[in-house]
Amino acid sequence: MIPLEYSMTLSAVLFTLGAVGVLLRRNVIVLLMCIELMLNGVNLAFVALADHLNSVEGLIYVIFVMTVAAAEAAVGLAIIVSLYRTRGTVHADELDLLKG
Amino acid sequence: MAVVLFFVFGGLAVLGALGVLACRNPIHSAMSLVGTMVSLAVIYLLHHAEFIFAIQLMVYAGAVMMLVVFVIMLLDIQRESTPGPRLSGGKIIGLVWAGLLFVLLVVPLGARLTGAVGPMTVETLMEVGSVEFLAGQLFTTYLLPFEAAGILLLVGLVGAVALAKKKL
Repeated sequence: MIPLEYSMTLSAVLFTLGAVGVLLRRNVIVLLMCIELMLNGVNLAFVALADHLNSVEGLIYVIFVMTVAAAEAAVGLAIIVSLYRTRGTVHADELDLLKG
Repeated sequence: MAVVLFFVFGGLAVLGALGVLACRNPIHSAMSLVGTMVSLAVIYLLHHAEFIFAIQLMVYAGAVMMLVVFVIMLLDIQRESTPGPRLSGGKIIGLVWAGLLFVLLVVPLGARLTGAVGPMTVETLMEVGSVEFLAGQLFTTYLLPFEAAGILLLVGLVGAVALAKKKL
């Protein structure tokens, strides 16, 4: 039995590293991967709590998070492909069409 | 034993996450992320979540990351991975915010956990099986969210095709 604090700390570390990536990296594809990293951190928290509380709800939530992540990856990557076609770049700083 | 395995694969997961942040080439980042996901899959196994272990490997490390790698190769963005200024003001502010976020996430760990304890003990899992137990819940209590997730995937699929098509 793994102590709950260990898993939750690892989950927090992964979530924070994903957030650091979203804040620091400028390549849109890497941004998307960092969001996946954050979602993985959340999933670990759900699994650890489900194990700790003997509850199935955490695992159900993990399945839904994975569904959302898969849909997000598909749509996000399609947006990136179409952005690359029109602007010729995937650098977040140069994608300023909606900037005021 | 489980704790030792947890530390090994938890360390690998953190190393992979650092690799995602540090690698200049997006392909290397993607491979680091696959490493993180596989390590996390092992940790799910240590938490008695066999089904989540399987779909983590198949859906995340397999399907989603394959899609990402495919797009990276399609776009040929190798030449754009030029190193910018190493540490600007905005980056320092970002790091400070991330540090605050980490503190915010870790501080509540000392608190006592309260919550309803469910029936899914290790003994039940041994008897019924993780997949059967999960499927039973998913197709009875959580049927509506399950159908909604199916619709979400369908909408995502149609949206991705519509976005990636050159001319509608």
